[in-house]
Amino acid sequence: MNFSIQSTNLCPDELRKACLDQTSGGFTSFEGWVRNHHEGQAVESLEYSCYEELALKEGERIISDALERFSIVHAKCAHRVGHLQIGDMAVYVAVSAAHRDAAFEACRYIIDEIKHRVPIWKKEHYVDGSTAWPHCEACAKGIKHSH
Amino acid sequence: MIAALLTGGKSSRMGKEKATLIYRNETTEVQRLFALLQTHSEDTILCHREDQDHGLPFVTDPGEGPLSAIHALQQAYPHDAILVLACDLPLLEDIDIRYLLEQRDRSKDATSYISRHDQRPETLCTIYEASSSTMVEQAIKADSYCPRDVLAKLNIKLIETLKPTSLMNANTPAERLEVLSHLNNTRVQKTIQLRYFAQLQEQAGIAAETLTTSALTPAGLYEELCQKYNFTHKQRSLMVAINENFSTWEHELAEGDEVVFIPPVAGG
Repeated sequence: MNFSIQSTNLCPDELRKACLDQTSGGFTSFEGWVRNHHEGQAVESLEYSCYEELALKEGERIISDALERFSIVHAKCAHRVGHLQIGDMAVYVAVSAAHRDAAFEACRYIIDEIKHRVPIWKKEHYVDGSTAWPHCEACAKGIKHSH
Repeated sequence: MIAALLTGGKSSRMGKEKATLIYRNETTEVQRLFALLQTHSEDTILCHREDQDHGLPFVTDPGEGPLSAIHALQQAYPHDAILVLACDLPLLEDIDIRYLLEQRDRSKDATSYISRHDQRPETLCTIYEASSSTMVEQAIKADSYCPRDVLAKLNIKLIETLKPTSLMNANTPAERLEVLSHLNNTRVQKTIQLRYFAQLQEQAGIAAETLTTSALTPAGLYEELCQKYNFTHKQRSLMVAINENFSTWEHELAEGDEVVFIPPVAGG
C-alpha cells in the first residue's frame, strides 16, 4: 500500500523510513500545509473530506504510474481528512531514487496528479465566518496544466 | 410567417454536427425538422454559417451564437414574424409546433414555451414577432449575445409544453442516448444507490439515498437530480463513478448500481 488516507496526524517519519533502500542515493519529500490565507481571505481552518473507496484506488494508481514513468525506487503518499487547523500537514509525498533528478520529478508528478484526480475535497472556513469550496478552475474544466 | 431552422451551432460537446444526426426513419434532423416546418410555412429556411451546406435555402448566420442568427433573420425579414427553431430537439413533433402556432399572441413580442428545466422561456422554439427586433438589435449592438436575456426584456406569451420531453435536447452523446431511449420506448425503471460528497452533499442535504429512476445514463440521472436538489454544478464540471470506478457519462446504468457524482476535486 503506497497511498493512504488518515483521519489522524500524518507520520512523515514512517513514510520516509519506508522509502529507505540501499540502491537509493536520493530522497525527496513534499509536505502540504494548511495556510492562513486564500486569495486574499483570512483562513481559519480547512475541512477535508473524501470518497474513500475511489480515492484509495486512484491514489494507488498515481503512485503506480509514477513508479513506471520515473527511475525511482519507492514512492509513498498520505493524505489527511477531517478538520485541520492552520499549520497542520494535509498531505505528504516521499520518493527515493538512485539519482536526484528522478526523485524530484516523481515527487512533483505525484502531488500534481493527487490534486487533479483524487476525489478529495476541502471546505475552507474563513476568519469572517464564511465558507467556500475552493477548487482549481482549470481542473474542473479538464484542462491539463501544472499547479 | 417565416419559419427558420437554426443549424449554425458548432456542436462541440456532441463531437458531430447535431443537424445531421439521425434519430428516426433514416432522416437527418435537419431534413425532418425542415419538412415539419414546411407543413406550417411556405417560407421555411435554414440559418447557418456561410461554410455549411445542407442543400436548402438559408440566411447566413454570422456564427456568434443563436441571438446573432435571430438578428440576421430579422434583418432579412424585417416585417415578418419568425418562428425560430433549434435543430437539436429530436423529440419535437408536429403537434408541438401546431400548439405553439395556435397559442400565438400577435399582440405580444413573442410566444414561447416555458422550459421545464428552469421555468424560464425557451428561446429556440419561439415565435418572434417583428416588434421584437428592436430589442434584439439593441442587444447585438451592446455585444450581449444571450437570447434569454433578450426574451426576459420582451413582452411575451409563455405556454407549457404538451409533453415533459417535447423540448428535450441532446448536446452530448449521453443525452443522445437518453433521447433515443425515449423514442424507442426502451426506458426501464431501476433502483440506484446514490452517495453524495462535498457540495453535492450539502445541496442535497443527505449523504446517501436509494432512488428509482428510468434514466438510461448517469447524465440523465444527474439531470433528474438537478431538478430535485437544484445542484449548482453543471454536468460538464463533474466526474462520475459507478460501483467505485470512474465511468463515462454514456455508460448504461444497471439495476443496483452505486453512482457517485464527483464535484471538482481539491486535494493537497
